[in-house]
Amino acid sequence: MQGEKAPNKLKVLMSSYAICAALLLLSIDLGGRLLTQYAPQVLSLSPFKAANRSWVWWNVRDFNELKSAPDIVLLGSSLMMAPLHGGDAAHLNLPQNVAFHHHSQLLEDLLKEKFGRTYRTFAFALGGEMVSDAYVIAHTLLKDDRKPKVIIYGIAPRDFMDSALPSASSTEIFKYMDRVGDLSEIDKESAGSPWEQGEKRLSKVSFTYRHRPDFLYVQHRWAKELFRKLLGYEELDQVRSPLHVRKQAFLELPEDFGPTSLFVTPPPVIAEPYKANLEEYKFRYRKLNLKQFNSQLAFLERLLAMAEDDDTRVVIINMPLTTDNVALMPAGFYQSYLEQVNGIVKKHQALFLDLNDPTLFPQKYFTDSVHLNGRGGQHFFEVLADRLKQDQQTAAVIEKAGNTK
Amino acid sequence: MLFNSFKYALFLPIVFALFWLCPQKWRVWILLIASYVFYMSWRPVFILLIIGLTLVNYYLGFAIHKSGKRKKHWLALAVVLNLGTLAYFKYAYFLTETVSQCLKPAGLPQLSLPFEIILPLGISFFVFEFIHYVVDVYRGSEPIKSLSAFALFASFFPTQIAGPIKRFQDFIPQFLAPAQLSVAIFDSAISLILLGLFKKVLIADNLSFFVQGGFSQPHLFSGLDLWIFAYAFAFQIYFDFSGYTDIARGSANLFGYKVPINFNLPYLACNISDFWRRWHISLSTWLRDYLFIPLGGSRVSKWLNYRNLIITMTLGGLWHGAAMHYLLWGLYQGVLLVAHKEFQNVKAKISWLKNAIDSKAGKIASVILTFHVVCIGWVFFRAETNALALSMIGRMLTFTPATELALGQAPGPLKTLAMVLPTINFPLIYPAIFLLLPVLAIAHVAMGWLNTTTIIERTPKTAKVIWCCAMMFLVIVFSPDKSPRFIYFQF
Repeated sequence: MQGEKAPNKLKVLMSSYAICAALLLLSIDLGGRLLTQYAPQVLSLSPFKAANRSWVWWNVRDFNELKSAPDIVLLGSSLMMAPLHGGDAAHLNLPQNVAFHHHSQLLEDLLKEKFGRTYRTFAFALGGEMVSDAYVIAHTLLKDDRKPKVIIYGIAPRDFMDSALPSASSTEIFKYMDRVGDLSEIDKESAGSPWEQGEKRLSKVSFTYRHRPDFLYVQHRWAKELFRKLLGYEELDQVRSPLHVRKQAFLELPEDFGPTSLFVTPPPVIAEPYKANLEEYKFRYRKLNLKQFNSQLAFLERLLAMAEDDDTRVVIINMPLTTDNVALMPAGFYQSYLEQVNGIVKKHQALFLDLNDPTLFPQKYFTDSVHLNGRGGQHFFEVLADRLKQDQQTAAVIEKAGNTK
Repeated sequence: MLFNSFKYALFLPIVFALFWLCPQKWRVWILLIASYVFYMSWRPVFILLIIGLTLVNYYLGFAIHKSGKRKKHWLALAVVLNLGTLAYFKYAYFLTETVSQCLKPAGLPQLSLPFEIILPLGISFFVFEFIHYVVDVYRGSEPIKSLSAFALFASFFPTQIAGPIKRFQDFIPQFLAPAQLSVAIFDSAISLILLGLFKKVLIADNLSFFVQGGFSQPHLFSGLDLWIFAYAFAFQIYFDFSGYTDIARGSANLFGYKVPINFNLPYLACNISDFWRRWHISLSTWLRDYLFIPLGGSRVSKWLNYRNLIITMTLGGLWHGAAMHYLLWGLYQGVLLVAHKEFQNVKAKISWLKNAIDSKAGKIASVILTFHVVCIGWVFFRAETNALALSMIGRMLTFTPATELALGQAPGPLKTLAMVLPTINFPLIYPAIFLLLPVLAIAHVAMGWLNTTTIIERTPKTAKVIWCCAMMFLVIVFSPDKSPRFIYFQF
């Protein structure tokens, strides 16, 4: 009797089209997994084909086009991004296109002046970059024949504790780098809630779930093609919408920038305008999340340990901030941040430069409470080049890294 | 816990398995516990509110039923308690602010609440269900004897947060009878859930990003652009709310329970009265039975009838949210209903007008006109303030061109049309949005059509498998990472 019941139950289950559909989807998913493993050329999936072109997408794209490893890599958030673009715009007196400008001409020229050699820099200075993001960039890209001799990493307290951030893996940079490389070794540290960890596991198991951005890209390509054919409208990759409209959308949407979305212009002759943004930072600093802070410190330690193993000299810069901004931080936090970062840097024999000095960077060098303006950017790299030259160990590495041609 | 979340994708199968694996006598309790867990997943403390109101209404139901002459007093107490709770949580800020605004010109001190009030999820829905219960018991219905069944009626997780607003006479007998599950019920439940997710995550969520851009900076866009934003919001709110209802109905079906439909092709309504028979049906029938009729309904003089319509719709508007723009939206609906009644009177007297409107072309024109009138209403609903709504509507009706600054970004042909919109490149939806809007109008009909099970039943199994698999695939692939909440969750 029991022998007869089992097939009947199976028959009943298989008579459900919803169950059959789920099984069909599982088979397609499995097929996708097998194809990516054994015949990846059939699907030709690539993380470089993305529906949304975030700043990190533009950086990775250009980094991959480099013929050899850069001598110096710059890492940091918008606090590094501002002097990078603003400094070069001031130095060259030319507007800098943020989508394509990924090196510091100013630093290269200053180092040439000081060391008598030529250098190639590459900057992964990206808005909102947390320490975990800097680590995943280094872990994924700065390896094998792409290892630089020196990493200059500009940090600030916000990179360790941002109440606007649910978890390390929720940033645009992390999500994109997760497509580019294998970040499974830091799954536990990067995911926030158990749900997020569950989603991560699902993306490991399911081909469909993991490759959602690829399918999104295909939808974009097809839709654009259809749009072209229907309206004869060609320039669909350009972004023309006003930035403030797009900023509103980016609160909910992934970043997307076209090739001419943002230019940083040379500073005006008169004083540069100052924009108050303390409210934003009040929100960012409103609650000291010790778990997040410790986790980001651990990522800094991982980055330094990796560089130590690779024989890469790391220079950690405490980026300049206005005194108003530092005053917003929870009591005792800034001092503790400085001490803990300093301790880790010392442990891994890197160089720590504290440039957060109001006498060195007074308010005239800032465009708001955290970002340097064009002249501030220029001044920042001048100070940095001096300090690099002053530190014997770093100077020796830089000396060796440059090209005599 | 959102229906379109990973949490719900785990929660629902667990409850489903427990429900069907356990004996019949435990099932109401399993659903009740699951419903309380579902409610507590947001802010656990509010479980006390739902349990408290359940107990109060349960015992007041008996008090109303048993007392003879004093039953009116018990009913009044029940209504005051329910509405008082709703008013405290939902309207305290609004009332304080409104009174403050009134006191301001007289130079009197401004009022402010000394504490923070958080609006519990779904309160507008379960309070309306409690009021329906006590009023119907007052009108002669038998009160519910089983406390667990009554508690589940109010807290049933598929309908807990955003309805449909249920009627206990339809719902309680389903709990008390042994639940049945068949492959056909299971399949139709899964189809409904998938259809709902498809509407929510693929259409409504993607439209929401687009709509947000327009409603946050309307001054940048031309009148033509703003019409497109209004159309987009009309479809966003429809697909969001009807998607939610489909998931709710599908989830309830998985336990063998039927929840009433809430939408019946609303944008095919040929007048505003017809629209309200098709849109949020459970709310409009509630307003009719527990507000409009007690006010006197239509069996009164013409002007009293109009007054009743305006009061009902204005309060219905305010039910959606404690803000002046919802009140204005409700008032607008009331005025439209009155205008429609007046027009009906005029139409009845002029035969050529009647013939023209009743012709095929007349009906199509009526549908188009009704849709546009509804879209204007949605601007009041969606805009954050009345001033913004009125300015948007002004630009829409006069087809104001876009500002030079915004137009400067547009290429030649679009400049001629004075449209800024096609130049906005939003990552997820663009450029499909312009292809999507006309498709949505058709999809609106198609979705309603798909909701009728006879069509699904007649389809060959292979086609159903492929359709279902495609829906699963699309929902997985195109769900935005940060899905906005269902619009009706805030009410």
